[in-house]
Amino acid sequence: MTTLVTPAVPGPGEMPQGAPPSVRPGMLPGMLPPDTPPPPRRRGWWRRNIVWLVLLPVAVAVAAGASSFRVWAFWWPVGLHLEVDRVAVGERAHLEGEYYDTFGLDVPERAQTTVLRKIDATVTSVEQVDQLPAPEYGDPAVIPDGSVAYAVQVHFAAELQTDLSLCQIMLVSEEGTRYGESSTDVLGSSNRCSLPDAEGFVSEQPEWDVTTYVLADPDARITQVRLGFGGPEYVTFDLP
Amino acid sequence: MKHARNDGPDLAFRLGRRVVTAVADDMSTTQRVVAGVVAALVAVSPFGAWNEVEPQADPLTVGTPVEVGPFEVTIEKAATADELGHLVPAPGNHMLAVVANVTNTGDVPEIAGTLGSAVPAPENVGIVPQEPMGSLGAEPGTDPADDGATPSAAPSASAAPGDEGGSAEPELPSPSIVNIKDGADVRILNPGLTYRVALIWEQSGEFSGDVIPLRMVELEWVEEDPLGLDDGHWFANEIAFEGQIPVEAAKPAPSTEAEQQ
Amino acid sequence: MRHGRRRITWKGTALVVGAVAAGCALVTYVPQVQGVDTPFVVKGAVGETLDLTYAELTVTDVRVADTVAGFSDAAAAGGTFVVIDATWRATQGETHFSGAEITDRQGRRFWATNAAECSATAAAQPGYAWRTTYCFDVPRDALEGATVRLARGDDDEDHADQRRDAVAVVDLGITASEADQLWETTETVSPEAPGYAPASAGGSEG
Repeated sequence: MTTLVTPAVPGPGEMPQGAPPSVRPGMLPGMLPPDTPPPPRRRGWWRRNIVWLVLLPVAVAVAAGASSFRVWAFWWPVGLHLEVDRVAVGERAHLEGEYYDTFGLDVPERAQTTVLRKIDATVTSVEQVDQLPAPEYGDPAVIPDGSVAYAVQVHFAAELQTDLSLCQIMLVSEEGTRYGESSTDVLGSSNRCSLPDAEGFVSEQPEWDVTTYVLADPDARITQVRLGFGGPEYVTFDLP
Repeated sequence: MKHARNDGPDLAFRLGRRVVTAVADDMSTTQRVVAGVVAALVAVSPFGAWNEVEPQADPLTVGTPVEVGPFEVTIEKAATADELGHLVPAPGNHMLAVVANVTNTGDVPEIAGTLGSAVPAPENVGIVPQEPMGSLGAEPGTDPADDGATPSAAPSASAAPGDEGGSAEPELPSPSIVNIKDGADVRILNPGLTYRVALIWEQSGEFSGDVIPLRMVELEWVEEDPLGLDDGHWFANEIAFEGQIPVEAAKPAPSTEAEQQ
Repeated sequence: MRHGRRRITWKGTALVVGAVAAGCALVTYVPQVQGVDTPFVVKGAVGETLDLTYAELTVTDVRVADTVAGFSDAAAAGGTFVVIDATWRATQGETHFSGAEITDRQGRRFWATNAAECSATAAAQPGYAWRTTYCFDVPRDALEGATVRLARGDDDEDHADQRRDAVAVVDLGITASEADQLWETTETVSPEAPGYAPASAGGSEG
């Protein structure tokens, strides 16, 4: 059985008698033998560490990238972040984006697949109205005091059974305030892009028109209409 | 030692080595192992290694207040009833209610679930077990093997091999907690207030005893979760109180006041 | 230098120990929690409209009730209900107002119930004022000097969701003598369901 720990210095009386001085056993690592000449040249700290200095920015970038999945997984898919088309009111915009269909509620074959949604939309008019139409059921909605209502008319064209859930048609003011951001509108309809008598949340006709109502502040100057389906892609229609 | 003046820490390191060497050199392997174990035992001593492992549960009796975490709980009685407000048992079963006065003695509101975690369902008195998770919420096709192995009708199957729970007993549910004053579910318990609540479980109709064994769990505040996911919560630790609570016979007890509202 | 291991020197040791000590001191003594976590508190009184950047908030009325009665249910207070009517007007986009909490003079915190037509949270969009009623069950000694804290971030985890965000703290204006008087009242209040508020209650868009 040998010792577990290399003796740092030979104990008294254990000094090997005949060993040459240059190969002393038990030398501590890093300890300079007394007769070793000093290193011939001393390179500067920056020189010696040049490799690591070069790698440092790379390491920082890799570290940042390693945690960037949070941006991708939690921020990017939720909310409108990518403007894919921008046209004037009256012109046709093309919105194209992928989404993951978890349940396939309306189209069971799509369950747990990634679906590409392609839809053409034209905002045909945006105008203030004095009263809201009677809803399908329930009490007639009134415009609350201190608010104005806009009617936004949109013409859609898409393949049959294009998913319309989470549809957002919002008005954006000069100051960036987003009016009507919720998919549920002031009349209680749960989807602004669907026809009032639609069964599910998929399109049932190749082309269709909707009118949706948005409450806004009286002194707000509306400059844009935005259309999206929860994000990240959306299209913008500029008002004249 | 010519270079002693510029290798100070080296010297300390070397001395340490020398001590270890001097001690370990003359020892047999057995001695070394024993010495290592002794050193390890000494090292864990400051971390509570010698604390009493299983403290005896204190008695739990009707009418005596006990402290669990942020709550002062006084058990008033236990009773069975056919129906309690919106809680309706399966045919043949009945509801078991433990009536208690609960005061939140802390400074912050507590959710009712924290109280529920302090009062586990009484064991071996026919409390209807929880539906196994997954039999209800599982997505279709995600885990077919697991789904097939846990039919809700067979409680023994819920403890699948390799299950983290370990025990073969089906998990008993947390109580439904109802405020007796208004018959509504208790959602939060605000500090400084005493609520008279009923902790309710569904019980098999076969139970006909006149006492239930009730236990209360010590709640321990976890300031920083070692896993870093749930800082600042009450952790249901070990059984702190235990007692036999007499059960009153079936009568529609706590829901009457609510129906007057 | 190239051969063998590095020499351990006093200088290097001092450098490492010094750096670690400096780091520990920085973490221990610099009040980073305050700098990083403190919300922007906007203080006000009942009837005042407060600008929280993401919304304008007005606490319009404060009442006390033993029972709050709703359309289908009623809730009885363990202490007494402080019933607070508030009006939100979102100013940026659709906003969920998740934080509602009463703080008493001792620093105790109380959360709202969502029984009857009371709400513990609210949601609103820009373009209209939204009225909501909060009901807090509090003990007698919490009434005097109580404040209500309303915000979009919720109150869980010591207000973790309200960090570096605007928070309204409204003094309910209850004096000691009023507290006794309020405690004695045995009233039943039927809060209105949340809905559009009259225009005067919320400020216009800024």
